[in-house]
Order: sequence, then structure tokens, then C-alpha cells
Amino acid sequence: MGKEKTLQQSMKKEKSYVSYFMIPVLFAAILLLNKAGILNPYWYQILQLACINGIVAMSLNLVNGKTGQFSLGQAGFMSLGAYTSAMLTKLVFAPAMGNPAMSYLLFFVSLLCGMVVAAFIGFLIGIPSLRLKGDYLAIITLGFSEIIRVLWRVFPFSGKAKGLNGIQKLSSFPIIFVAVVLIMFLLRNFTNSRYGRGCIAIRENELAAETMGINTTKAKIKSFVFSAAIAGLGGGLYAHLMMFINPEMFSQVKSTDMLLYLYAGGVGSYSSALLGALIFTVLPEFLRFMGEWRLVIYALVLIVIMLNRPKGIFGKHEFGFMRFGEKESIHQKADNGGLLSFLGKMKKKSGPEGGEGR
Amino acid sequence: MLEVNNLVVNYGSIKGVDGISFHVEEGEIVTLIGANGAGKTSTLRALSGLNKVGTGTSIKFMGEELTKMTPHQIVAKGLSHVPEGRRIFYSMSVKENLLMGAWTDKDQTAIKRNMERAFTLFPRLKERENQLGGTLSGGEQQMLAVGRAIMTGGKLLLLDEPSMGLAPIIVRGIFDIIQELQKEGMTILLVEQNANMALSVADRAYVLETGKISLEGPAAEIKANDQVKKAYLGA
Repeated sequence: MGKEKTLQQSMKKEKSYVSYFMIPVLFAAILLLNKAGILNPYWYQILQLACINGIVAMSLNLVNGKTGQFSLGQAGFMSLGAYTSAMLTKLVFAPAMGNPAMSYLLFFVSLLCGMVVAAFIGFLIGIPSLRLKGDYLAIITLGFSEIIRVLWRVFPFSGKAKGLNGIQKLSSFPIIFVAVVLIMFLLRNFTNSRYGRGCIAIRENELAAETMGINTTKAKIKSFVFSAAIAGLGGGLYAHLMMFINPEMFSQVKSTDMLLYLYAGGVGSYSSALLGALIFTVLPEFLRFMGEWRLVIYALVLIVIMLNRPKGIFGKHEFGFMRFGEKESIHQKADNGGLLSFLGKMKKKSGPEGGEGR
Repeated sequence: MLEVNNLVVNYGSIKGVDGISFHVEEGEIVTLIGANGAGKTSTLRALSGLNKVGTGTSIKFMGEELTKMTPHQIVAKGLSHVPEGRRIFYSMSVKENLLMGAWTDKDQTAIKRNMERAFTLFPRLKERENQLGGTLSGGEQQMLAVGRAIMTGGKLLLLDEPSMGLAPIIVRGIFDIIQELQKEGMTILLVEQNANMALSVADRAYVLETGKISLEGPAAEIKANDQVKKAYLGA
């Protein structure tokens, strides 16, 4: 070592801020496309739904992808957020919602309440199940989401089995888009914080993480609770987009869908989770002209993807802004896998070895 | 420095470690040797809180009782554990792995000092600082595991089978580093199956046999013991 460098200086890398500018550009482009009539209301709605699925898939990535636990009950937290916020806007805040400013403020408050409720229940479930090592969390969250679904069928204000209708349409593309971006930045900062690094260490090797002095139970509960809150936000936005919710919307199928988005997109990366949700929400709609065959094609596409890209379509790559604009090192790129590294290999036949699997 | 009395580790109804007592003084290298299943790893795991201990057990580290503490509290007290089988973080770079060792440390200058210390001990890690942990060779991974433990800033290093699965020349390198660490003032408790190697660097040794200590004394004496020679040194 010739020159003395501080830790911070030596950590500094080349940065590129292009991806940050892409966010408003993308936003404006979609709005313009909609205004111009190219993106018709039907696809506009699908896109919003896809973004909400993206939020929930990203929340799942925090637990399954980053902390190495396995949660199967994300729909349960979604329903907590959805019902809490919908009941608030419909039954409690409705008389006060005179002007648009007030109704959006109250909408925001009820979304927050939904997040808090989801987080609190997540905390209650997390305490006993995350103290254990292994697959207990999967079983407990699976059971929990079923319990919640059944509870909504008997809960007095929730419309019971026929569902809650007449919810105001307060979710809109700008709100959902801002939520997605906000959640991505929050997740990025959490993951790169001390606790986030602790979570990744737990994923990589729980025993070693313990010998590093990490309170593994606390770190796991933190990420689980945070994830539940985000899923709750997704649920709240969902309820105010669909204007109608019933318990069956949040069945095990929904949780499995979220897992599908995450694992087909690329587990371990928020960007891949979002893109996975976008693709696999839009794809079935796109295949609608095939009638009954569309589900067969959909399943086939999934099988082909998982066989050829076991790390998901996009692997562990993140958008530039999710890496604080830093460049990925060649070692990182090789480990990330996904379609990008595959295309890279095609381009220069003698790329670095060992992209897929370890 | 470390005072262990009547250590018992139970696995269900089976006694993994059956009431052993030993001590480690400051600046020493003490080794626990023994065959497979003798209870060496269980002992180390009990010390760092990863295994539950029996009711009569007392583990005193620098005057403090450790038996009621959780693993992360014990690390904070200055006990660094290098677990068996290295267990590095595969998808983190070498540098990130080392920084994970400093997880409990909030003092930037101390982290920097420890990092430089690890890099001076293992220049190979400096060369590979941006490479991912999973792509290192076995020997380099062991270096990283030891480097990471040094980063925790502990005063007592617990090493579990550092020679496991490594070529003899790499093993020698690792043991040279262990002696180097002792010169720097680190106290080391070494668990090994490679008794020959362990006894050549240690000051004192304990021989474990099915959960009990069968022999103890200065390393040179143990090495000369006929029984040990026959059972562990293959002479």
C-alpha cells in the first residue's frame, strides 16, 4: 500500500446517475401515452395492478431474498392493509372527505394505519416463529394468512363473505408510481444499512452471522415487520384501485402469485421482483386472445424460465439507483446471473466463467 | 482469562460434553485435541453461546459469567469464534466479509486499524478484496474466516478445525499465522483433529475422549506421551 487511504475513500467507486433520471422520464412517458390514448384505460389499470403486485413482491424479497427466511403469507398482510384502510375511508373518514385535498390526506392516513396494523400483526407472528431456525416461518405464515382470510368472513364491519364494496377510487397511477419509487428507496436504504447487512449475513450463513455478534432474532423480526408493513401498503392501494375487496381475493393463490413474481423475476433483487411482477401480471392479460390455452402457455413460459434461468429472468441485478449509482464489479456481475449475464456471454464468447449457480 | 468449570452439553439424552473443566491464560495457545465426536466442537459452541449448557456449568471470561448470555452478547465481550467449516458469506466480497466482522464495532478508526491488521496478516486477502467470498479457494476462505474473526476485535480467538480440508502446505501457513497472532498478544483456544500440528504450536493441551478430558498438560509433554502418540499421532 503506497498512499494512505481512508476506508470511505477506498470504498468510493465510479458513479452513474442515469438511472435516477430514468424515473421521472418513465413516469412522464406513461402519463403521456395514457393522455394520447395509446395506453387505453384497460391496460392503464393493468399497469397499476402490476405496480401494486410489484410492491408486494418487493416486500417479499426483503424476507425471502435478503434475509433468507421463507414467508408464504404475504396475502395475509396485504388483506390486513386492504381491509384496515378500506374500512377507514369507507366507514370512518367518508363524511370528512369533502374536497380532494382532504380526501387524499385521509387516504394517506388510512394507508398508514393499514401499514401499522399489518406491521403489528407481523410483529406478533414474527416473535415466536423467527426465534426458531428453519422452515417454521413458512408453515406459520401459511396458517396465519388462512386464519386472517377466515376472520374477515366473520368480522362485523368488513362486509363478511360478500366483501366490502363501494370503496372510493383513491389509488391512481401517480400515487402508485410514487409509492413504488418510495418503497424502492426505503428498501434500498434498509438493505444497505447495518441491519440490512446483518440480514444478508443471516441469509448467507446464520451461524456465522451469530458469531459476528448479530442478534439474529432481532434482525429477522425487523425485516419481517418491515416487509409486512410494505405488503399492507400494497393491500391498501389495491383496495382503493379495485374499489371492491372480498376475503377470497387474499387467498393462498395470491401469496403464491407473489412468490411466483419474485422467483421468476429473480430472488434477491428488488428490481427483479418488480419487473417479475410487471411481466407476469401483464402476460396473462396479453395472452387473453388464446382463451383457455393462455394458462397453459403461462405455465409453460414459467417452466422454461425456471429451467434455463434458475436465478430468475433478471437474476440478482439491480437498477442503478438501487446501487446508489455505483457500477457493479465484474465479480458481482458474474454472481448475479439472469438474462443480462447470459446476453453478455453471447456477445463475447469468452466471458468470465461461472455465471449461474454456485 | 477463561475459566471453565464442569461444562456439560446435552443433545437430548446424550451427553456431548460430560463435565469438563479447563482454563486458558492470557497470551497462551491452548489446544483441545481428540477424535471425531469427542466433544471438541460442542465445547467451543458452548463457549460462544451457540449450544445450551447444563445447569452446573460455569464459564468465566475475564471475571464475567457467560452461561446466561446470548451469542451476540458474548462476541461483544471479546470472544471471537471461527466456526468449523469456515462459513464465510459467499455472495459478499472479501472486504464486505471482513466488515461484517466489525458489525458490533461503531468506531471507524478501530475498524480501519483491524482491517489493516487483517490485510497485513493475510496479504492474499488484500489482493482479492473485491472478489466474492464464494469464489475463493479453501485456504483463502479459511484466511478470510480468521481475518473476519480478527475484525471483531476480540481478545480470545476460538479456532475450530482451521486445518479441515486443506492441503498440508496451506495448513502450515495457517498455523504460522496462529503463532503470529500469539506474538501480537492474542490468546487462542484451538480445536484440532490434526493433533501433530496443533501440539507443535500450542503451549498447553487437553485431550478429549468421549466428552471427558483424559489427559492434560504442557503441549510438549502431551506430544511425548506414548498413549497420545499411539492414538492420535500415528507413531
